[in-house]
Amino acid sequence: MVLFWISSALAIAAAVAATLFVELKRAVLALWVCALCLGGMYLSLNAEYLAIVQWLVATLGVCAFVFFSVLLGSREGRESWAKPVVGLLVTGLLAALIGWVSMAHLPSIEWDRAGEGVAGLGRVLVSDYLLPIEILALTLFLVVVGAGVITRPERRGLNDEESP
Amino acid sequence: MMIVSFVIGFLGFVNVVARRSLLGVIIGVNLMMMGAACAFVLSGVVTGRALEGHVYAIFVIASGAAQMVVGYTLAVRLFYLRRDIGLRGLRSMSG
Repeated sequence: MVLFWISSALAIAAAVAATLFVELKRAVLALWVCALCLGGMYLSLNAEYLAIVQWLVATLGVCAFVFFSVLLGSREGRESWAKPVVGLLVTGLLAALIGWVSMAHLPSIEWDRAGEGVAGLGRVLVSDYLLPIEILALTLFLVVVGAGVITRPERRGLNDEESP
Repeated sequence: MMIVSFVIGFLGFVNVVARRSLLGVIIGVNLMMMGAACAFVLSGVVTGRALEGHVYAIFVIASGAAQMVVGYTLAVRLFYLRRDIGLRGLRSMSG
């Protein structure tokens, strides 16, 4: 229970940092911390498999992000109106959150700790949700192939040079 | 308890609106996806159907990975076309 609320608070703090940081590399580092804290939250909710998936996807995504930010440039700014509005929104949100936490005691969470865990999740995935899993796999495959096609350099120049 | 997912998703939305480059928008969409996955897990716990919540969260996380790939692809394509990944240049593509 304590791990859940500590992870939640850290995840929200990291999300706020990801919103406020102007430089993209710092923002994505905060995003990574937010994902790690969410994984800790899932761990406290008896969802170990989900926590591992979250950590893996977030770490690989952040590595790719650092690569692309180096490749494409990490200069970043905000719209001129955005800085005060974002600051105001985040401040209001934090004030509301602190007020809510201080006024009401934190609710307790009841869940079935004696559930089937990862084995039950795997059983459900290959029985009730087999078709959605297949569609998801096909979607990921098409995304990877489409990404390769879209980022392929154009060959118009080569054809023009070859033509007499 | 669900307020955690709401706050994370809302901060992602603020990121999407306020950032000026495509990579910044990807960060915001990622935050929104994390908030959505968190909402599924928490609602599964609250309603006593935790397994369903976990399954839907796995779908959301995998969709988030696909969205990241598409975002990077668009960023690379945009860089090919304009030598810049700022969102302002996209306005001229609408004709």
